[in-house]
Amino acid sequence: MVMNAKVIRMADRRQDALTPPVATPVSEPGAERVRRTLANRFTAVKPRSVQGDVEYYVARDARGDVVQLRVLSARRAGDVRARELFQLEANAASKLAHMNIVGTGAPEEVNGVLFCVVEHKQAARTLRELVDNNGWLDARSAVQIADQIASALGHAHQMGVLHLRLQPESVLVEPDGWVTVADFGLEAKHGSERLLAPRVPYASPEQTMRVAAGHRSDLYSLGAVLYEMLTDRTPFDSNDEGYIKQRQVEFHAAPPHLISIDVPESVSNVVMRSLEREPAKRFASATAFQAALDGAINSQ
Amino acid sequence: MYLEYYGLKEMPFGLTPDPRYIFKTESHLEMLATVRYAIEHNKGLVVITGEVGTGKTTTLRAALQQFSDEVLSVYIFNPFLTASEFFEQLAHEFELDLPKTASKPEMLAALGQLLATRHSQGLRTVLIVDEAHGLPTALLEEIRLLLNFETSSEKLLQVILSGQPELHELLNRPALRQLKQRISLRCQIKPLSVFEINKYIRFRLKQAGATNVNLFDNGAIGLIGNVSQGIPRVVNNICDNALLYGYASGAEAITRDIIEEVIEALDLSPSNFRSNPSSSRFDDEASSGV
Repeated sequence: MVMNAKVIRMADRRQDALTPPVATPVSEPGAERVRRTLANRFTAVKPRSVQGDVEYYVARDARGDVVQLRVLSARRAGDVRARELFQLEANAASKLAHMNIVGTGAPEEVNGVLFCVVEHKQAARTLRELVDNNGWLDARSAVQIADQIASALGHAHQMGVLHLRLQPESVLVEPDGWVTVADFGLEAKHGSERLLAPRVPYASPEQTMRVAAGHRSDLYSLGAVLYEMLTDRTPFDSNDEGYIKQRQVEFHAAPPHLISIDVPESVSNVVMRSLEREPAKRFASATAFQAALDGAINSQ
Repeated sequence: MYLEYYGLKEMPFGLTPDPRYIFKTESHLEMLATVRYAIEHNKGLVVITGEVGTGKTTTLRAALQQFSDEVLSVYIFNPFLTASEFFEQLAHEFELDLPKTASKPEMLAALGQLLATRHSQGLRTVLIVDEAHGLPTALLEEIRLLLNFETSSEKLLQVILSGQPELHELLNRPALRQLKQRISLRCQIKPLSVFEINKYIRFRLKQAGATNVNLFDNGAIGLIGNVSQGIPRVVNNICDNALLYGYASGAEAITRDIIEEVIEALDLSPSNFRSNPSSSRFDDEASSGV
C-alpha cells in the first residue's frame, strides 16, 4: 500500500476533531478506594466513568438491587468548595420525586468518601447514544422526548431546583420511549455554580458568560437538545468551543426547518424561541414550552 | 451491489444533484438566505463563489425552489459564448419570440419590455450565470449593461454570477471596475471541515435509509477529510467507492484501510484535484491539532 505519509499523519491528528468529549474510565486506584471504603454497604462495585471530578460506579446494595454511585473523586475530597457543591447538588436532587427524573439519595460520607446513591436504569440508553447511533430522530419522536424532559424540568423548577447542565448525556431513554433526566441540579437559592461546568453547545449564553442563570437557562439547554434531536447537529455546530461562544452571543442559530425539510416549521419555531439569547424572550416556564411544543406538533 | 449489504434503500453518495441530499452548512444557509434576500428586495447583482464541487449549483437551484411561479429564472451554464451567442440564448430562454435575424437592440428592447411587464405585475426575473469565472471580459460588460434595466429604486433583472474563487480575481480587473461597483451582495460556499464531513456522511447515509449511520469509522473520515479537502463531490466519490470496496471485501464498517485502497485506486491526492492545495485550511487544522 503506497500512501503519502504526511497525508496519513495529518489524518491521524484530525481524528481528534471527530471525537466528542466523553466520560473517561475510573482509575483503578480510585475504584479500589471506593470498593474498600464502601464494602460494608455495597458489593460488586464496578467503575463506569469519570466526568470531571465525579466518578460513577454501578454496585449492588444491601437489598441486592443494582444502583449507581456518584462519588466525589479523591483528588477533590479535601476541597471545601467541591464538597459543598457535591452536597448541595445531591441534596437538591434528592428533593425531587417525579416519573421523569432519576431518583437520587441524599449525600453520604464514609471515611472521607463522599457519595450519593442514584437509581440505576438498566435498560436505558442515554440520548447521546441514541442520536450518535441513529442520526436525527423523526420530529414526533424528538418532540415526545423533549416533552418528557420539559415535564421533569417543570417539576424541578416548581421545587426550586435548577438543572443547569442539561445535555443528551443526562437524558436516559428506555426501549419503550420512557424518558428520565439525571444529574439534577442545584437549588436556585444557592446560585448557579455547579460542580461540573455546563457544556458549551447546550449551556445558555448567560451561563457561558458566567452571569446569573435561572430556570430559563434550562429551557435554553432543552432547546439545544431538541435542536440536536431534530437535525443531528447542535446550534452553531462545531468542535471549537470558542467559535460557538462567539456565535452564541452575536448570531441566531439556523432554524432546524431550514436544515432539514422534515422538521415542521412550527416545531422549529418552538426550538428557536427556546434558544433566544435574552432569557426574557424564551418561554416563561417549562409548562409553557410543553404547551407550545404540543400545539406545534399537533398542528401538523 | 452494496445497498442491501449495508442496509441502504438508495445510493447515498450519488454524484447527480438531488435537493434531498443537500447538506446545508452554515455557508450554504447563508447563500440560501442571500439569494432569497437579493431576489425579494431586487438587489441587482449577486456574486457567489466556491471551489468546484462544493454544491453551488445545487444550492442555487434549491434557493430558487423557495419561490413559486412569481420568479422566472434563466440559467446560462456555458461561459464560452460570444456576446451574440449569449444574447441569442437569452432571447431563447426568456422566450422573447424574436426572429433569428433580430438585432441586439431589438432583443434588448424586447427583454426590457418583458422585465417591465413582469415588474409591474409584482413578478421577479432572475438571470443566473454559472461558471462565471470563465466569462470573457466583454461578456461581463454586456451583463453589466443588463443591470441598467431599472426603475428609480429597483433593479428589474436580478443577476447571480456563480463561479470558482478565481471569479473574485476576474472582477478585480480594472476593466471590470464598473461591474464590481454594482455587486450588492457576495457569498462564498466553503469546503467542509473534518467535523462537518463526519456529519455530512452521517446525513447522506441516514437520508439513504441506513440504520447504521456510523458505517465510516473515525480513521476513515479523517483520511477522507484530508484527501478530499472538504469538497463534497470528492467526498461522495471516495465514499461511494469505499462502500463498493467494503462490500467486495465483506467489511462491516468502512475503515481507514479501505479508504487508503480507494485513494490509491482513484489516484487521489490533494494535488490531483485542486489547483491550489497549499491554501487549504486542512493544513492549518492538522498543524493545530484540530
